[in-house]
Amino acid sequence: MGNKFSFQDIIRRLQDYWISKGCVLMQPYSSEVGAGTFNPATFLRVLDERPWRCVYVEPSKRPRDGRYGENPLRVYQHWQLQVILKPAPDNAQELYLDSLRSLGIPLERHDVRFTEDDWESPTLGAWGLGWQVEMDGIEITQFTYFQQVGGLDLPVIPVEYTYGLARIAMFLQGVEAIPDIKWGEVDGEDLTWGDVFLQNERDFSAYSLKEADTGFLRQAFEHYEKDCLRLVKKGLVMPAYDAVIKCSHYFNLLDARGAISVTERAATILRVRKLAMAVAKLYRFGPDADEGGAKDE
Amino acid sequence: MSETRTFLLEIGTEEIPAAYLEPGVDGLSLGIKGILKSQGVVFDEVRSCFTPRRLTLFISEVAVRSEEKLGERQGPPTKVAKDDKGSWTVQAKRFAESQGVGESDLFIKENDKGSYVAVKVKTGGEETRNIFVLRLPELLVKIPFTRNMKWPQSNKTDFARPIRWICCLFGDEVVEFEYAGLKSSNLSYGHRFAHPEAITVNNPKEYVDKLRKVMVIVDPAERRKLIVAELRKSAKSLGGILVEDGDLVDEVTNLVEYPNVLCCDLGGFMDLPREVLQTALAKHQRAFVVEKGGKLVPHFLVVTNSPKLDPDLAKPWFERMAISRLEDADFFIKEDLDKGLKPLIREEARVEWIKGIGTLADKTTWLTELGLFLGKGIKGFDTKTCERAAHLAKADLLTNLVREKEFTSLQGIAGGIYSQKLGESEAICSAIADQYSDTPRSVEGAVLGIADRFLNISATFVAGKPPKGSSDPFALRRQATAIMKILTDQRIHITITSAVEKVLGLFGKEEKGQIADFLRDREVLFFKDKGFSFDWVDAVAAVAADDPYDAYLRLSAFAELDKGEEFRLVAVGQKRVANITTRNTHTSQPDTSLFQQLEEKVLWREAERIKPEVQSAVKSKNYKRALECLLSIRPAIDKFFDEVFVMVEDERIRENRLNLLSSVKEEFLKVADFSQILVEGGP
Repeated sequence: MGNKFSFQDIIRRLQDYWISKGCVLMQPYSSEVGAGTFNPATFLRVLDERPWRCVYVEPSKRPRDGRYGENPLRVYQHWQLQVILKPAPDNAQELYLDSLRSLGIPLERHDVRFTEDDWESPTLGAWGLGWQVEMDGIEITQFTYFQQVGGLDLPVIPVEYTYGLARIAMFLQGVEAIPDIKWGEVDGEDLTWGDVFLQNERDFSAYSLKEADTGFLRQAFEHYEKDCLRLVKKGLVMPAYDAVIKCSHYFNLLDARGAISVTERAATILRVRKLAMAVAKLYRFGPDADEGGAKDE
Repeated sequence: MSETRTFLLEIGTEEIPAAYLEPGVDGLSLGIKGILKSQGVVFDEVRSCFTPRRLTLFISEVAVRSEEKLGERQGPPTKVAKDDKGSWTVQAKRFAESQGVGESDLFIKENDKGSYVAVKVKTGGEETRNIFVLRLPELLVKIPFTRNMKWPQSNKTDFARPIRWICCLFGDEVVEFEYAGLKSSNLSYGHRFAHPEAITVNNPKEYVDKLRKVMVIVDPAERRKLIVAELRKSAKSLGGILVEDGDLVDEVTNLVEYPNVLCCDLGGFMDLPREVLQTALAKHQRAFVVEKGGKLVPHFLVVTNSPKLDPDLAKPWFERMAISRLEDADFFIKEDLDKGLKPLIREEARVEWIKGIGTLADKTTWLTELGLFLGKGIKGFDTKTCERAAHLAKADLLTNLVREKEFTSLQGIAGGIYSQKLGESEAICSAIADQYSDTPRSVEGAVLGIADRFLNISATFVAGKPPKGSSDPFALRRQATAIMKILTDQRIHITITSAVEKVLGLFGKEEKGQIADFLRDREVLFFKDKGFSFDWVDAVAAVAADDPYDAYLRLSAFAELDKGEEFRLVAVGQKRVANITTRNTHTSQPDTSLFQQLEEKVLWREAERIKPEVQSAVKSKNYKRALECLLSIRPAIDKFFDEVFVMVEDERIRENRLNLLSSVKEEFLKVADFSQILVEGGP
């Protein structure tokens, strides 16, 4: 492979590319999320009719995927680059492909595919149609035209691109394991992902799979669930939404600890979805528009 | 012959899911045919093509105008249209005006609804191009995709994926219309990477060749052929032959615009079970494998959509992803074998099979009992093999391998592989491996498969989820068809009623005969699909549907004798018999002393003659012989009807004749209900 972009080069290039296409640069959210979609810059901003274009990196925490940094492809915390274009432009595919070209990838000499993959986030009451983009058989991006978020039909259809940055970096750098990805340089020496995050992986894997206090997590879940509904009644969108994010993360931790049975799992997802829907309705229709919102579902 | 032109419609889209393409163009074809026919536009043939990025229709020799027709249009009733004196009223005059004709063109028309004023009107003669302009948007809305989406430019019209261009020509003229925020034109686009620029299509006839030049093979049949040829060629260059996989070829045909086969290396993994290797590569990479001397070679073939592919750039990643999948599989298998199947069989008690019916452990027990019940009496059936195979059959559902999404399809096969590695006999392993197959290799495998499907179908019905309309989420119809196929292929006699009864007994549940009805319906369809005459199937099913293989033997006898005309003649007589004896309960044999005419005596003698022969032929299931016997008394029956009047005044004589006919009918019903055979139609 001709180029040796470091992980930080890739982030910078993609951010610059999307900024040049009219996106505003956002930052990761301040609470643990499982995917960039949870960031309010996506979840809330896609709900209304105002135009919105943004790009940001989101560290995404998946407790179940923790492997102590020993698995080449699975990690507790991976990095997504998230782009939202609302409304989705008519050249959404070409724009995306040009972003790959900006990384110096000669697309016509590879096998690039848009493979059917209808995305769904049961906890967020969200779904959309689109593809996963595959490059020579590797999935590098989830490409989705959102249809519904928070249980609401969207008034303006956005497109969401979620780049799997680790996959892209491995592809570009020709390395076979995530920890070997070159992140940047310190004093002229390569600094790898592992150099920066191995301890993070080890400690959080142990926490997620073994040490997390399930009794406390259950309590915390129930507390935030109640609080979310209380805050929705007060018309406070942002803290109510934070509570949704907390519930989702605690659910993920309980799940990783094996503390949730199969039947309980579906029921708990539903509980989180109810919260997400309540917040979405509040954001979109305001505190007094209960009925209008109900109609919209 | 009036002037005709070729019509072309290409809907350019973002990548449409593979499974949507064929139903999509079929819907288009059907819709456009309907429009042209209803509008009276003559055309020769509708042809459709597609790639992931376009749905295309061609219609050859389309008349440029719709046919002119003279028709009538009805106005108000006569009592409104004419006054007392018989002159046209104001209403009648207004009607004439609205139709653009004069008073003198009005006339009175009588029909079964009464008397009306009417005018003659000319319809049609419209420009076909205008019909397209008007009707195409309505047609596009109605294409039946499994799932539709909205996009910002779509103007509230839904489609499988966003539409990005519409190329529409009638001859060399553009059919201009607007849809989904787009204007149709004569522009199309080539391959996304190899030729992204727009091209102008001047005429429908140059469309296919012009697209080929920009690296799009628009005809799926052509693409498929090319793919198979390229795969075989690559296999040959690897010194082996391609392991054919028709379904996978179909799928990749729908994923590419211009196929280019890439040959990749696997390195190791050749000691992985063949099915596992093949499934991993097929499911995850949609890759094909090659065999040499019955063994897979360490390579795989990927059908890329990249005509300008650089193999050195692309290969490493396809290989790395394949290897990581195979490493997973290898890991699962080692773990599964370490654990063995025994603990999994214990675990079955904790896994729900079907809600309200039982656990997986219950199913295993029932499978064993039902297997032994069905197998009893089948030649060569080994009780011990069946028992052991049934005991182990469902354990693989709980293995790491089968629980992994991409290997779920290896259920049964995985069980067979594991059982073999754990030291079970060849016969047991093959029965386990074949339990989901339509073509089991042994009697025990067949019995296991039939029993499993009986349990699935019955349990789903009892749980209140039978298939309805197009919804059959548990594929019960396919499972029922598989039962019929296995029973006939393996020559196994069972009766549906007793099998279902046994199953319900095992469940400790009841139901109202719907399950057996469902199975018999599928049986009838199965035989019709197999190519037996529909009416023969109905005739046989009326008397023998409960034992599908027996029904099959009867139908085969019909087919073997192949005396369509003769059957029909027999049917004529049997229909008369059936009609005339509907109220005769036939409690007694005819009294020979009451016969008055020779034809009665002859018919009775003939019936008595064939009776023992038919009985023994049916008993030995020699239905050909039985049919021959029955056919042999047709002259006597025909003669009887020619000469004897049945419904005479004298009740004793009449009843006696009805008794005679009923006895004859009874003989025929031992083989089939001939009155169901169609008597009209071709030779």
